[in-house]
Amino acid sequence: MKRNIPLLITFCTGIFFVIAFFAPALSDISDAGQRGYLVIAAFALLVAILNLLMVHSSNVYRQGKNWGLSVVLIFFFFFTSIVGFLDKADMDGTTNFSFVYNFIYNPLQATMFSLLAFYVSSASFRAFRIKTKEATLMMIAGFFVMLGRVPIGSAIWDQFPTVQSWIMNYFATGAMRAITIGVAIGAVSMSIKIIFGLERAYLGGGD
Amino acid sequence: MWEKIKNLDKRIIYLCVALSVIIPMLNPIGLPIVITEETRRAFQAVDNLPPGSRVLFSADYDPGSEAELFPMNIAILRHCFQKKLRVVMTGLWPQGPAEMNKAFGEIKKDYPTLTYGTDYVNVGYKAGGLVVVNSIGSDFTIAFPKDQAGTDIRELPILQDVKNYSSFGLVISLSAGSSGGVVWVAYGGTKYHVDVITGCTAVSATEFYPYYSSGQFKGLINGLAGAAEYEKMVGAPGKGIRGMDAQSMSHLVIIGFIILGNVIYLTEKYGKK
Amino acid sequence: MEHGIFYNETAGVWIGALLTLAIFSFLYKDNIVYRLAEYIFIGVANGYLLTITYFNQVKPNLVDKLAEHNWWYLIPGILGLMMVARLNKDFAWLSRWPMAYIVGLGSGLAITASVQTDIMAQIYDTLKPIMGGDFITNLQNLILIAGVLTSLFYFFFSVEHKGIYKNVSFVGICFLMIMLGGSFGNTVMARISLLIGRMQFLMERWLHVIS
Repeated sequence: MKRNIPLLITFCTGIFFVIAFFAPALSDISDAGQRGYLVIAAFALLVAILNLLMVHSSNVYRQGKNWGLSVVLIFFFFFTSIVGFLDKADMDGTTNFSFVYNFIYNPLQATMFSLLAFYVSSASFRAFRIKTKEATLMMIAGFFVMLGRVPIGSAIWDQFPTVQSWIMNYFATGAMRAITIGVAIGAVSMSIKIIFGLERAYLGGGD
Repeated sequence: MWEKIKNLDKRIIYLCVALSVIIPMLNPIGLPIVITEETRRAFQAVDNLPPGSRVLFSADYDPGSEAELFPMNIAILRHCFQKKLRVVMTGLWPQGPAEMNKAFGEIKKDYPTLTYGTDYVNVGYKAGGLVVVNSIGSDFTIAFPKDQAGTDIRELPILQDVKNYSSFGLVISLSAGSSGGVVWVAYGGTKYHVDVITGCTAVSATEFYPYYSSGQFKGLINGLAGAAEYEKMVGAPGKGIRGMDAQSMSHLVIIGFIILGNVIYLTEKYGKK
Repeated sequence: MEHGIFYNETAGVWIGALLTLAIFSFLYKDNIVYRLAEYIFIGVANGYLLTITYFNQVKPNLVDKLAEHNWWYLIPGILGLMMVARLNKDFAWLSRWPMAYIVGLGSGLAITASVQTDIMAQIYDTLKPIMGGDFITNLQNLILIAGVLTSLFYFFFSVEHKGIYKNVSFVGICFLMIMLGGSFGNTVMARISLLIGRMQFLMERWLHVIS
């Protein structure tokens, strides 16, 4: 029961939604199925959040590594949640919740990602070497795109944007399309394996 | 000397990059922006809609990509309101609707007559990516029974008669990765034949070009440079155009570092021979 | 819209700026200020996610429906709660039912969408004429077709890449390298844009040195 019923659910749901694509008459059942999915998907997010809280609560309880930082994490989790629930998630204008989003969450995440600008520069200096003909081709394409996408490029040579456009629209698109088709074939075959119970990793371990 | 340069402290590289961004901001040059065909087509897709058309505008990004997509968000919203389109805002990412509110906050003083619920509405975020997009093809209320404030959508004039994609003239997705433009193209554009345009982070642009080439995206706005182009076409310079000088200079600096790294590499390689 | 009791633009900009500098401090070296900011971020991000998920999805799509006596919604509600059982080792198996439903539905939708969007539409756009049009269009179409076919061939391992096949495969590698170069150029652009965004915030809103 612990494994066979889930496999049956996957099989029935998967087959139904393939058939529903070709059979508009099934739209009522399909709509109901999707309404249900949207509820369950929300709970899936809650599981992730609760899991994080459990990990850090246990770290505080055990006074494990960086337990003080875990306290900070838990405090700010509850602080944000309480502010959000009191404001009913109202983000319009000058609510407390929009303050937390705009002046705490937003700068932290935006800056975290902006660090990548420094890393990509350092990596470009240390790792981007023209060791082979192929790597040289890659570097030339990179230079043309880097210069063709910014105004200084067209100031240096007015054909940089045109070359950039050719690289992206024809050369890169051709290669990327091959990858897209390949990935799609892989996704279809994986989906078929899941529906027919040949791929079961999503069920997790145990009985 | 080469050995010294080769082992250059990474913090010196960081400093050079930071200065290449800061100096042009303090001393703007104002280099002219060249409009690409991809951005022009995106602009035209919005521009060709008759006044009063409903547009489904999805912010599928978070603050991590805000620097690139927020300027686009503002410029496209501005364009929509200039054209008197009705905008239904949503997001497949939890932070999307907040970014929409923020973008609208930046321009609302320029459009004081706009009324919430009539000219624009924010229906909030839904988890479930592909199912959210697919369900709209059947019935908009499956995923969105209420707006973000909790009002029944049938009580809002803008959404009273909304059915499915046929009620929208265009879908716009500002996309920072998975659960974004490609999902809208797959389940909205290809399956339900609604026109889709996208604004994407430059890092995901390569992935999006095949869909633009095939016409599945009617337009493609690529990164901060794309945002600058859109701002130029809308006639409202913003963070995109203001950032282009810094973008130009830092690209030159990075190209300089790549060349320097390779000069060292080639000198060492042929020096040994 | 209500005005929050602690909403203050100036204080907010200062907090935002100090948190920005705290993250940037990592560039010098790992330090406690950076890690403090990192943990604040995770806490706030998850608090935000909880709030938004509840008010944007759980409430309108479940709680309000049940309040309107749509008892049918009890089924997904119970399945949703079964998902939470994943957190308890003894009852984790219960979460397989909703998980199976999510995976099954996703797979069913993915099959048709992938075939239609990523296979059929992409192949259709590759079948372009290379004669009859003007020279530039023919050339563009030829590059695109050659790019798709040779790149696909490079990933096709059922034939040993020897002789003519090796040459075709090499052309495929060249296309892939140009694609990766373009991707690299775009990545650099993206990352620099993110830094520009933070600098604009610091210099415009905090230091007021640019307008």
